[in-house]
Amino acid sequence: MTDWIGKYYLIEYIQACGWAAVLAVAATLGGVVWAGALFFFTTVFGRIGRVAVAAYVQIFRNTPVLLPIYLVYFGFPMIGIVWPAAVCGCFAITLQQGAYVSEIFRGSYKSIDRNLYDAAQSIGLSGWQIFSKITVPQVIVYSLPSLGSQVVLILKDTSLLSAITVAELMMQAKRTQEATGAIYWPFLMAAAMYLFLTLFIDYFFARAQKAVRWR
Amino acid sequence: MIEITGLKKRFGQQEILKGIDLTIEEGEVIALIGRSGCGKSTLLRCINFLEEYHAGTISMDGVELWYRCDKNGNRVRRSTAEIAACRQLMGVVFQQFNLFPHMTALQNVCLGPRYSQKVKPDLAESIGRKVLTDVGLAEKVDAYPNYLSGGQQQRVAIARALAMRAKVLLLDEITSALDPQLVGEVEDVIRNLTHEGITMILVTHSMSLAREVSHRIAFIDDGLICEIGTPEQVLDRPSSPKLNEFLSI
Repeated sequence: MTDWIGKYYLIEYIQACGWAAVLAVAATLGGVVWAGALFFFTTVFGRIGRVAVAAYVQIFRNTPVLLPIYLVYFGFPMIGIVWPAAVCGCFAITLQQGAYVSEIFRGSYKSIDRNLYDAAQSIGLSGWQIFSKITVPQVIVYSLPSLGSQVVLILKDTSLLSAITVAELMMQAKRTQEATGAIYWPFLMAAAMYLFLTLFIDYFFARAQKAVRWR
Repeated sequence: MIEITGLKKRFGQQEILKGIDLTIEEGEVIALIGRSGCGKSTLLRCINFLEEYHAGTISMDGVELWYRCDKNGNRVRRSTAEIAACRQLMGVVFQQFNLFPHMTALQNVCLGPRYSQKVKPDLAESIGRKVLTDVGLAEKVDAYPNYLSGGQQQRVAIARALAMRAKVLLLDEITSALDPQLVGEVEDVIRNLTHEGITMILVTHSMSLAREVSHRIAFIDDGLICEIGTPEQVLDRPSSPKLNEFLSI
């Protein structure tokens, strides 16, 4: 029994799978918060905010995510910021996903009925109250379906962090492959674990959408 | 109570309101009628400052709303806090209900008292329950708008305006988006309100409702008040050819 666990590096794989999940959760939280901030700039700072955020979005959407990963991991130490590789990686993914998710938020914002803002003004709500009580709750709910698929992409992006020494699933698969000489099963095991994680993400977002009672 | 003088409003080059003068007494119900695009809805939106206007004044109890004069005598917008405070003097009900879909009927109704008037939560809730009961929706307090009929939604919207305990109610074609069989329940609420002596300005296409509930009717044509008077004067003995033509359609 223990032979079997040892032979297939099961403990190491489960650890690596846990790491992939932690990285994905951290990058998702970072990305969503940063996207929320970007979205807030566009609604509050008018034209200047919109142009600045649009430029940011274009830059990050049109470059591969490996670019910010390398820039942060190799670049930050040169300006005196030394972070663990995993933190660098999550930060880089956060920067890029902020751009993607802010576009999701923008789309959801556009689907809110404009007339609701007349109603909100007519009952004397302030700008901040309208943003926090009318806009944000609806944007979050309208964003859930797209956000679910975006989190799957974020999980897959974490596989790139193997390029900067983070011990996530792909790194584990490569190490196992090198240690055993086997080609298929080390990678197929990683594939199975990614599949497990993505199915969990899908399930989580499906539940979240069902929990919304007002639609 | 409300005094409107020389109100002008344009969208781009097109002048929608060309100088409206109108005084509304406390407790008075006044109906605004006219063709689509004549400016009656715009007038109502200007009164609540949902539209900015370019000239003229709107005052309530002698205080000018929305704009003031700065020390050089220029006309400037009031501060956002002042504008929000002025808005609490009026409740607005819209054609499309405009209920917040993510909030229950009670939450919709309590929002204004709770957050813009800073009423304590339990008091806001009791106000909310009372006004919802007044419009006949005591059982629907926890229902979300999507699960209510159009008539029920519009009654929630009226309750939301009433919960502000405003002095004036502005009603913008509130039965136009309803199925014919649902119009009655909303009109009943309006009839009840007229007995309570609340000041109302209603934009409507329903001459029968205007005749029944209003003290005066103003016929608006091409951005001006063309004719104004009691329902009998305006609807039965119209003096201008334009009003005659409008009524005969």
